[in-house]
Amino acid sequence: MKLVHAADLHLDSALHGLSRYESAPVDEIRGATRRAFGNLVSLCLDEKAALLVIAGDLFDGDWRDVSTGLFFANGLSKLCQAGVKVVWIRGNHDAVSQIRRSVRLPEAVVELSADRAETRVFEDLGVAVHGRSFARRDVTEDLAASYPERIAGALNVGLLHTALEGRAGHDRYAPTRVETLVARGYEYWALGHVHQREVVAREPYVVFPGNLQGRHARELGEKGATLVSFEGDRISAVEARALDAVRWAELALPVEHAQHLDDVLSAAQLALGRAVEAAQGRLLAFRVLLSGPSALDAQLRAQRERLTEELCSLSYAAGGAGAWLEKLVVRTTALERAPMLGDDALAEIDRALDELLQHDAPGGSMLEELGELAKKLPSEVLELVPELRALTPQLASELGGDVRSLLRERLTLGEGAA
Amino acid sequence: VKFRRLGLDAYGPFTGGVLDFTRLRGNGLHLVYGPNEAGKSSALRAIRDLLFGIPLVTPDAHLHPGPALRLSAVLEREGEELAFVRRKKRKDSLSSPDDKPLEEARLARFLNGLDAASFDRLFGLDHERLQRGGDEMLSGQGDVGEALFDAGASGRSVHRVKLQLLEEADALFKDRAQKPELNRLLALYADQKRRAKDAQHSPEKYEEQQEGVRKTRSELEACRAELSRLRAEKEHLSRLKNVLSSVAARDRGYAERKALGDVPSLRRDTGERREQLSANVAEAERDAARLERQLAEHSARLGRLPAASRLLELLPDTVRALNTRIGRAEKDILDLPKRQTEARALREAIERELPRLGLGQDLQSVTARSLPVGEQARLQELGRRYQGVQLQVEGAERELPDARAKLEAITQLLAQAQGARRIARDALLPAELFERYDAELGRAEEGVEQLEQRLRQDERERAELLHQLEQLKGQRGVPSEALVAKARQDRDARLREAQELAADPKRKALELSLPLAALAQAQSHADALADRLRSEAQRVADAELLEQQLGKLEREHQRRREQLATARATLQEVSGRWQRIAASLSGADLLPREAARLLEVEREGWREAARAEQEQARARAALSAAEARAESSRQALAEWQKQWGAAVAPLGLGAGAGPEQVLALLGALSELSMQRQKLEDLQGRVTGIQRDIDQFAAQVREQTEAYAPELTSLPPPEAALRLVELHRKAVDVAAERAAIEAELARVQAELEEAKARAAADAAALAQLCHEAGVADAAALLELEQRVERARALDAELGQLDLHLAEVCEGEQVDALVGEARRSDKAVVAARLAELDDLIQLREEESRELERELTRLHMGLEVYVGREGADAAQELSATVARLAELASVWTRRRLAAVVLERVVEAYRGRHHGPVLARASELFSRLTLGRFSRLQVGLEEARLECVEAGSGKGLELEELSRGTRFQLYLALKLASLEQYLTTAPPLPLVLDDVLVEWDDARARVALEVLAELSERTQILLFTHLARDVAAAEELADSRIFTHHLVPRAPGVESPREMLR
Repeated sequence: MKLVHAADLHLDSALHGLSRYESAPVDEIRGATRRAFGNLVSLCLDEKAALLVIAGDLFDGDWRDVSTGLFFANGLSKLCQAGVKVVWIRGNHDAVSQIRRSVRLPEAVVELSADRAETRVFEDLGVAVHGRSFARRDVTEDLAASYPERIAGALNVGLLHTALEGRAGHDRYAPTRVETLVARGYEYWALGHVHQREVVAREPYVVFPGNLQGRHARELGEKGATLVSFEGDRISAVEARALDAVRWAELALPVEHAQHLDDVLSAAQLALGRAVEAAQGRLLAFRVLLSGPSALDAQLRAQRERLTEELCSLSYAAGGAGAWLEKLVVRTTALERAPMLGDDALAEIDRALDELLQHDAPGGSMLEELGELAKKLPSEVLELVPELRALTPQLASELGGDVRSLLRERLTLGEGAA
Repeated sequence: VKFRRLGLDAYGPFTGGVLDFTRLRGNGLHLVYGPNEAGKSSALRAIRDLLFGIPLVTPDAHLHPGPALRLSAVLEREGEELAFVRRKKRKDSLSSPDDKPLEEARLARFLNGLDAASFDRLFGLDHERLQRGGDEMLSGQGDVGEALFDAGASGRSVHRVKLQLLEEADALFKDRAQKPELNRLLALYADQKRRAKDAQHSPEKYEEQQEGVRKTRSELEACRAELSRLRAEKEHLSRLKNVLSSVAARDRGYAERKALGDVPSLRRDTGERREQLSANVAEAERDAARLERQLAEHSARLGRLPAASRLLELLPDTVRALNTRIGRAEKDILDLPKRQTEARALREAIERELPRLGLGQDLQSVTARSLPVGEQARLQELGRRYQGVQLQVEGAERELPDARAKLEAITQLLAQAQGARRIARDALLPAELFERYDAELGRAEEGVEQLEQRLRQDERERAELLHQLEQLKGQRGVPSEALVAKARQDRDARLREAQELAADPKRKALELSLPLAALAQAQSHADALADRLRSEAQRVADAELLEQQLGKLEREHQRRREQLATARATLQEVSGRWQRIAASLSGADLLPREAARLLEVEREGWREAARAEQEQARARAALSAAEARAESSRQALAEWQKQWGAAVAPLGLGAGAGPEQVLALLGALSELSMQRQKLEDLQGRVTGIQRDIDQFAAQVREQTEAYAPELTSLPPPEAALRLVELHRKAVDVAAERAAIEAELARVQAELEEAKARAAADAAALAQLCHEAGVADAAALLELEQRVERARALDAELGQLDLHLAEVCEGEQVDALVGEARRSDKAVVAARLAELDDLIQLREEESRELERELTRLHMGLEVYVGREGADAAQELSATVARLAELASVWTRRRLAAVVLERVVEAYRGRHHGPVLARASELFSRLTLGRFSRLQVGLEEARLECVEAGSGKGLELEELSRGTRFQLYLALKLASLEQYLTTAPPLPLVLDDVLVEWDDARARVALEVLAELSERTQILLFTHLARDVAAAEELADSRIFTHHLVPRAPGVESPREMLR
């Protein structure tokens, strides 16, 4: 018999950071989370799964479009008609979601209580599902500690929305320890909340399936659900199934040996080819990250836009279902040379930059210069251009490096160096 | 740091070339002299490649292949030496002279950590960069800070770079603009944000809609329940209303039936049979009475008819034959006397006419003279032709005298015309000939005149050119390309000689000095000639051009003179030919045009004579034709007379008889024949009529005597008429008698049959009454009516009961009947009307609710789409693009701001010392024409103070050359400033003095020699002038190197000295 474990659907959540350029595959990117959910429904039907458990976070908490809920309900109806049982708990997002309250799910879908942990036994399947929904967004107590006793003879599944003892990039809700979970004696812990897939333990199984669809450049690689095969109360297989409609990838390219921008592009083309292949016919959203000490450091920074255009052209010719360049990140460093001696006119640039950036407090002179734009940008844009809000030392050094490179390139272009 | 040695081991055109910098004790100003062909640019590139690596693609791998390229050097810094070799390799291209790898960083430390670009900027300067530096100072409009910075950085104009950055930033974003990309995107963002919000379907609205559906549905259900209750009541009342009237009728029916009591059962057709039989008896009795009346009538008519007659024996055919002949007999009797009178009158008329013809009294013989029809026609034809022939003869004889007179007159006219002509007809020449000669003579004369004029003009031009050339040549002589080529040959010969000597290991250095000196002299001579050739090239070119023009002019002049001679000969030949023609015409000396006019007059006269000749021929022909016509008409008349005589002979007339006489006789003969024929016809008809009358009389008498003797005495036609009438009457009476007798027999039979029918039906009727138990037909009728009524009532009541059962549709009939007996019809009708209204009201309400429900359900469908998510995705793309461009804009804008500050800071730091030093250098480099540099009072602009006037000139006011000098002064001052902050590096200059005059070049060398005390200077030049100037200076800080490329396989000379 089989059950499917999914979490963090975040239906209709937008895919972020994909700035539009001329050849960008705009239409293909739409509805990615819906298509991923469609893939989940198909997985249940194709595998003839008896049960689908969802460990919370169906929609973004602040998302207020009821169509999303209706789409979800419609998908679940298909499963109910096919006789698939569905059990789910509310996660932190669902606790505050208006849509969740407004849309009625099919009668057969079981939502576990938020008041206390409860158990739902499916006699015909020999499965007992234990779980508890989030009553509010910031649940900080250990919910797992109060989960019911194991039911003998059945496959016991614990459904829980948690960050365990904390996971990078995730709020520490319903914290608990693996030991606490193991102590309950269940055969399988179906967790949710953490977007990165992780098999935390195997005896018993403690699994984060990850979210269904990556939504930005930090949610990389395969995304999907976990397929669990079992006989009686024994689990025979636990497999990850990729269900995402758009695949996110980061092409990290060390460019120490590149002598010329063309070398960098060749490396990017190669890496892009591999990523497209790995995406197995999905649309690819990719970031290019250039790093390492490089003779081209200044050139890469100064000619970032040109390079970005070239990469867009590459993406256009990438094949597969298409590819969308999310961003080019230049994090190279200049080659270590003997320190430059002497005080020439260009050295004055470094001095001026240091002065401008290091002594720039909030409301300082640099922000004043750039304020006319900063004032106009919406906050969600400013979040992506933090140097326009306040300069941390790291931002200052990045910005300084870019401006220095730009000025040196412009002032000396055509003078000797290729 | 300075070079001690530079080895061009295998590089460009060099093989084993060496520049030895140890000849001078200090840093030195090293003049590296090499004409452009000698590989000067390769040597220059070698320095850069040596220090920073040979690029993958190099122009210097032509003689030696890439992997074989090799450069070597010895550098010295504060007593420390670094010897190294550079090869063309991707990695580890640096090594020690014994081929051990050498770290790049080691060399970099010697070079103050400068990279290739910085080294080029700070320590490299060539002719082109000097010019560009000078020109670009203008772009900053003389701003001191920018000028100083540009000289210090030696890159692109800081002013231009700043402007470009600002432009790029503005193209992305500008406060209060719309077009820049970011402004556009911000507007798009606002729009998309709003649309994204609109595209979302809020949960509140959705719930509201759901609630609406629930409420409407329950209202609809309530309404439908009420409606069905009302409809049930209406149905019951409708039924009640339906039975109300039936119940009353039913009650009445049952009462009447009861009153009728029991009735016997009669055969269904009893009534019918009774009626039938009674009717039959009455009808048979009526028929019998009618028939007896008819019998009496027919017997009376028979008694009234007459007895039968004998005439019935007469045969019908005989009667018919008589009857048809009666009319003709009456007519014949009247006609006979009229025909007899007609015949008599005709005979008398013929007998009177005969003697007038004069051909005898016998009618038979006279009519025999008459001609057959063909002969008559021929006579008539000949008569008609006679008049035509007569007219022809007369006309022809009138024509003849006129034709003769006309011929005479024309012959005289012709003789006059021919007598007046001066030139014979066959001596006339064509008009084109004169036109041709006229044109040909004109052309020849004009050609001669034009050529003479052109020749005079040529003379004038030639004099002018000779004058110009003399002026040019009068100045000093001009060197030619040939002279330069010769000087170069000389130089090359000496070079070969020196090389051969140098290659010979046995020769001593001293032996070399002489040929080397000669080589140097030959080389400088060749260079001097070449330089002069270039500077005076324009004059040489002008002189050559003039010579060329003169030569061309003379060639053309000669050609034109030859053309004139030809033109004159042509003129003479043409006029000779013409004069011969003119003489042949009239002997007089005529021009072609006059001759043409004379000829025209003669030609017109000859044309008139020709016209008269034609007229004469025509008149002659007309006379002959008239004579011929007169002869032929006479012959025609004789022929006609012969034919006429022959034609009239059979008539017995002589040939003298005229046509009119003959034709009249023919007419009279024909008339006489016709009358004779008519008389014979009349006599035949009289005889026939008499015979018919006699036959008819005999027939009539025979019949009257046999059947009606009383008619015998009457004339035959009348007797016949009466006999026929009597016979017809007798036949009619016989027919009538036979008809009456047949009718009597038929009536008798019918009467008997009617009597029998009456008796049979009366018996049957009596039997029927007996069966019903009644006495007679009247009693039977009364019984029948009672039975019928009882039956009708039974049927009616059964029908009513059935109807009630149907109407009740399951309700208890008795209950409904009871209710009906109690109900008032008006009350029921009123309630029914009320129910109709209520039902209609509820139905409308229900339909309205159904519509509302549909509308609400449709409203829910809009919640199914994906527009909200798509709009959010769009918005996210715009946010990303905004961030991307904001980041670009930030960097551009910041770079511009930084640049502004950099220039300010640099000026603040270096303004004093650098400007002071540059001021001094500039004054020297301009040979004191400018005394110093100063900063203008307004806007901190750089000004150059003229020594004489003390006036400050702005940069735009300087000549281009002066600007180059200013730039060099600033550049050298900046370099000196840099050298106060870092160890010195060799300064590499390339052809910087190319466009400087000798005096300024000498000063520049002096200045550089001074600078060489602070750092080594390598000055590459292709100008022998620079070498000469250095020699003149005889400065111990200056050393000259000569570049000589060397083919591989030949050992290179050591440093070549002068």
